[in-house]
Amino acid sequence: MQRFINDIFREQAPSQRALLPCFIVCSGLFVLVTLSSMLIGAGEVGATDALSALVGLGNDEANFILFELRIPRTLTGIFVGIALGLSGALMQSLARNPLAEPGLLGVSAGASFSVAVALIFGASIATLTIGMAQLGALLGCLFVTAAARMQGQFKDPVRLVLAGAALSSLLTALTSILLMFDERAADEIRFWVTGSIAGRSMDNLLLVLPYGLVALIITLYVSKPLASMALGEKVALGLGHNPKVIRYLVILAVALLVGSATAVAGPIVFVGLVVPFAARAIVGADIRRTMIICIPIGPSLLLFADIFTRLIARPSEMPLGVLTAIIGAPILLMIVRAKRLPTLS
Amino acid sequence: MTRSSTHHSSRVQPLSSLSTEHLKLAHGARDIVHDLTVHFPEGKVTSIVGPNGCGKSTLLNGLARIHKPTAGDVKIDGKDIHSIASKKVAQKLALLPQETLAPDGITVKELIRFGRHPHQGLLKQWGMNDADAIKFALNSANLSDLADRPLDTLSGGQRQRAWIAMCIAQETPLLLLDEPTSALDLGHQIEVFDLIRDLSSEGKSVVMVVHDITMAARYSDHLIAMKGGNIIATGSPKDVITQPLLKELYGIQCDLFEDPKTGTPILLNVQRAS
Amino acid sequence: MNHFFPHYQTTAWKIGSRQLNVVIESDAVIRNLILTVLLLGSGILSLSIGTVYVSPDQVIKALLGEGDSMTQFLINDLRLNRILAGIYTGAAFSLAGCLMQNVARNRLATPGIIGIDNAAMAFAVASVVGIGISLSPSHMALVGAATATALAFAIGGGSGTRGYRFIVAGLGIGAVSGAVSQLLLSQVHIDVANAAYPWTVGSLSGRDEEQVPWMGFITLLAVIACIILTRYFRLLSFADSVIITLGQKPNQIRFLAVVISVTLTGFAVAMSGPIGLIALVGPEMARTFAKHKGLPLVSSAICGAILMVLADLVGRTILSPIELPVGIVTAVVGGPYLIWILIRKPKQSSL
Repeated sequence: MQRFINDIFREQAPSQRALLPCFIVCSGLFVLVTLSSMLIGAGEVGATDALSALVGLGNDEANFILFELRIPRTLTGIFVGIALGLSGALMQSLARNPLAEPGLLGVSAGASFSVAVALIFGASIATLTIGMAQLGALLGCLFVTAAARMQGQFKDPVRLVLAGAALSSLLTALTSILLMFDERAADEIRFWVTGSIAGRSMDNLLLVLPYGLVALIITLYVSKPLASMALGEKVALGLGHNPKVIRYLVILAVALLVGSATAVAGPIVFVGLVVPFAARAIVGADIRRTMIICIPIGPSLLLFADIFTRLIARPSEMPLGVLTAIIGAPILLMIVRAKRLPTLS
Repeated sequence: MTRSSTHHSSRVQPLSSLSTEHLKLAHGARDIVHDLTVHFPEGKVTSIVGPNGCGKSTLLNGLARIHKPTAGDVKIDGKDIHSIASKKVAQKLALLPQETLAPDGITVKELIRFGRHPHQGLLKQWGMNDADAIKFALNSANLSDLADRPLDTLSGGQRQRAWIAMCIAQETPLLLLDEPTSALDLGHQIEVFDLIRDLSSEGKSVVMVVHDITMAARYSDHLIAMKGGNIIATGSPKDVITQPLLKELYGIQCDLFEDPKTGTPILLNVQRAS
Repeated sequence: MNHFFPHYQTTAWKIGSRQLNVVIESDAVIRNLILTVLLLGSGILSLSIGTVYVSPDQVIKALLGEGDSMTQFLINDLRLNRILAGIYTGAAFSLAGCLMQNVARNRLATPGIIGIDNAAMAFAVASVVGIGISLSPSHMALVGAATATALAFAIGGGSGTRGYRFIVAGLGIGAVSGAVSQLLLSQVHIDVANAAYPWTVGSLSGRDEEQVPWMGFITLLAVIACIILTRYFRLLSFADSVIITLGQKPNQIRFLAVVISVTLTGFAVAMSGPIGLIALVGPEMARTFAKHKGLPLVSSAICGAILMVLADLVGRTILSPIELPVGIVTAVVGGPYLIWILIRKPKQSSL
């Protein structure tokens, strides 16, 4: 263990660090945060009660809180964290732009818009058709990448983000219009759009899990060609990959991940920005290494933020989406203010 | 070239001297130019040559007050450039930067008109001099026929001449050019260099950064060779371009000949120094 | 001058011993006169249409203080304020957009899209849902815009090259403000949330009438400032090194442009809520009229005013008696246009 820690804190370029020790330390952090998420809450049940419930010795109240509320919430958080973290890493690698983030690029707004459409046509949040959110995410994703490619804006990070912001603002306006005609939908969606993993049932999570797995398989498949695409599409072509197919697969994976995450938790911005940023700081810019580290870091960050929302305004809670926005905004600025924008090679 | 015959009048400015004293320029914590004291001869064409990253563009930007020095001074006529109002400096010194960006759809003559900016003000937006200066710049750069063409419809060489014409219209005794021929083919390069010679013969002091050492030798009166932020040789092209210097600058060895027409050095059989 | 630049006129005055010279672009003057006529036309059209139709000549009479007192009351006291509010805010949004686009050299970089609107909105919503602040929503919107701008400058550390740092800081602040608005709306009863709704989409109905002349004053001031300063703002389409070479200070010019832009946006959002698309479409229209030459600041202002008046007219009439907020009309009409900007192949242009 001492060697691992030394390894991590030794002064060396992130890309030179051994992957395994980094992964183990991040996973340790992940386990810690997951446990805390199960034990800490805004309500009456304290950490000791929850712990005894966890080992099978709890009273009814503690059991209920733990198994009906906190465990589903934690599992949802883990899923959403992994999905958003990975989708951010994928998008940033594809766009070769450290600011490419589903929330900033309008993918989440696309998902929200479709959810609003679904609500208007009589669905309710509880029985929300998962497909709608994914479809919206896919459309948003396709649109913004098409727009950015067409304008050759991938190279200029800020231009890409501006295009995303424009798309988001348009979709938000359209969502407002839809909601103006339907008060019930407006009432339901105003809770949903704040983004939260509290009070989500296991059923929804189980519904999106298969999509998440499909996305994970695609991600595994594209990770190697994606790493060579970082050197330019022509290089990737020369190395025997098909950049076009890879690009569409990546977009599909991002849409599935963001769509699923948004369907269960609502739009949660900036996680896709912060997680890969942290992962790159730990192990460097190679997309395969980044993604492996994103898997423990994503849920850790999300659950950590979630725990914070439970504690900050006790006994009520602050929505998660607001907190991630507050955490993410400074990081966004940090990335841009860095003397040279890190080029994702 | 028949260009000089089309001049309506010569608009000679009095000479100004440009020099640096213990000039130090840095990017962040990295020193680029160390303790440089140099004088650029008046009324002559001076070229700064050297390998990539030797600090020549940074030096040029320092001379044009775009890059602020960490120590030392740039002096125009003996006065520190940063102690003079920027607009006054703009009446003495013009710069053509390496990368240029122009407003959408701007025509050649509109672009050249921007060169008059330092001579105008909120309450003096147009004077008789302005029309003459623009006319003169158009003629000098041989652009009179293209005056109303949008800049983005011109060829690379024409566009570069338009930018130089903007500097001419600025009517400064000092003209700095950062790789004025870098993206141009050979014909357009000669076109631009000829224009620079003409400007110098009309009394401007020109300082430019040039990559091609043969071209620099042929079109300059004075060479400054830089390496690692320091000047390692100055003087006439003939004196500066020697085999040891080329080896030190670029790590090459070659045979040197004299151009039978101009008497300037020509490099042949260039290879990596062993 | 005339020989070289036939579409410019030089006007010279002599004051004492000093010769004053001002260049006037006759193209621009004619263009702006035509646009003004169009604006007056739309204004009169909008004044005549409503629950009671008043013919345009009656409207003009009423505006001039003639005609019967009933019509005068209807036009001058009931309808005129709203139209004026539309003209002023439309001009303000559009002028602000044109300035910001010019600073960033990007036609998507309007104050609305970089989040100033969002911040103003969050503050206004906070006031509506009542979190113990006694300022009216419109004052809060102004405070919000000012706060966001100050924060964006403070965090970004100035405007930065091409205003990028300011823009990204704005985007971050915009995202946080958006989240905060959603939070506030989710915490209150649905009726209160509905009351805050106009502040989230932008509307010209039920605004504080006393503010209208102020808005007009601010807009006029900004337009005059822009006429004077265009000479410097135009330089921003050059690289910084060229601006310095010409003897000007790019950061100062950018700062000035950004400050005018966000001030206008702040006041406009305080009056009408966020109607960001005007800032995008107005300058675009102006550039089309100007054949993409120069920096059509005044034309942008007039085009924005025309767009706002017409959008408000459509919103009032299309689903009558239901009134659509003007923000929704601009979103529906401007949306496709925005998509076109996003996906069109750019020619080699700096904007």
